[in-house]
Amino acid sequence: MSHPPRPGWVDPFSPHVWADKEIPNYHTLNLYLRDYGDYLLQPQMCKVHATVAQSIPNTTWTVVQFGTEDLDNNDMWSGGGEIYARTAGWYVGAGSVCYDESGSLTGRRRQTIWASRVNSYIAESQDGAGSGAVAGRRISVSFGPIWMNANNYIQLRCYQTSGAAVNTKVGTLEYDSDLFIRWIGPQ
Amino acid sequence: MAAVTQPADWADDEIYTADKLNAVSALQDWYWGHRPLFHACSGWAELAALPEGVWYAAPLRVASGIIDGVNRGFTFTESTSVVTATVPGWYDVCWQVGFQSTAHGNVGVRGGGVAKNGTGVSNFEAYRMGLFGDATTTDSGPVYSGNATVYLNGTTDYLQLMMFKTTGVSGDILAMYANEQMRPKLGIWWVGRDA
Repeated sequence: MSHPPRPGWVDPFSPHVWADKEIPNYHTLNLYLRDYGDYLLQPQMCKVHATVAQSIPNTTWTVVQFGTEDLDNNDMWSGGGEIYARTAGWYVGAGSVCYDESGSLTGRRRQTIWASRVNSYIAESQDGAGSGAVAGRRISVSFGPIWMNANNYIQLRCYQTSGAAVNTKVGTLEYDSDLFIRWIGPQ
Repeated sequence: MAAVTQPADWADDEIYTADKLNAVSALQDWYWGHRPLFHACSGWAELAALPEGVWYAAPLRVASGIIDGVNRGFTFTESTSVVTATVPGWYDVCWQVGFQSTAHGNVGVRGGGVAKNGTGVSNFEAYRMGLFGDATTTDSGPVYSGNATVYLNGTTDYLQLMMFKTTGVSGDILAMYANEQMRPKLGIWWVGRDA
């Protein structure tokens, strides 16, 4: 589901400055008007979701793994837990982890976004487990805007304190853990 | 750079000129490189003690550390955490609040959200409220985050990141400052003009 930018695309983005008496032709109109405008309508985006239940050990930060992409228009994901920026710029996004809590679990749940550019977490959501059993407890974390250089990546990581390993819940989109990122500008 | 939120019209038989074509480039340049963008994060403890049982504007500062700080196209007042847009239009908002407990970490309710033009019940564009009873008395957390899309008129409309707690006392719960990823933060970016 990858759609690399059109041939001739200038990266990083810099609008063309037309010189006095410069006569446009179909090539320059297509490149500087059509293609730039087209890019406006399809910013680089990637969304992936999990397809296999994953064991999250007790009190251990774990990178959430994904199995399929719902959207990827610039080869930003190729398996595993990382989504890569292919163009430098500002990015926004969100992720969610769904825990299988049919066993009426306790403890806290932490979901964070790890950014390789700063080699650190940059956003988090954290809450205590609710009382009683629930098939899938999904908790989201939003982030942005953050700066990413080309080939920097983000991960969704989670941490839980139930006292034992907890599996993530998969099976339908209401459960599958996911991660999404979108480019919003080059500067 | 002045905001360019409307493309120029071309008249029938209008001759291409550099000025007219550069107006198109200017719109692209403004959208990609100069449209309003804001990201601030709470960073210090002395202004962060939360009052009891009332919504409180989270302290924010535009500074870059692990968290990228940027203010382009907004008026921001640190002392009141008021963020005012200068370009009218629709904005995406990404918000996060985090709590640090010196005591009573497992008592009461915690809440967070984004309010527009005031802090009454009807002013909130998005918020979340929950219990944190599973924590110990001095546990850090919870941390809530979310998104909203709001219209700002570019003159008087403003946003504030708000926090709330109930433990029965004041000064025992702080806006998180120890870990940058858990701190209150607010991101806002222009996405389009009104129809």
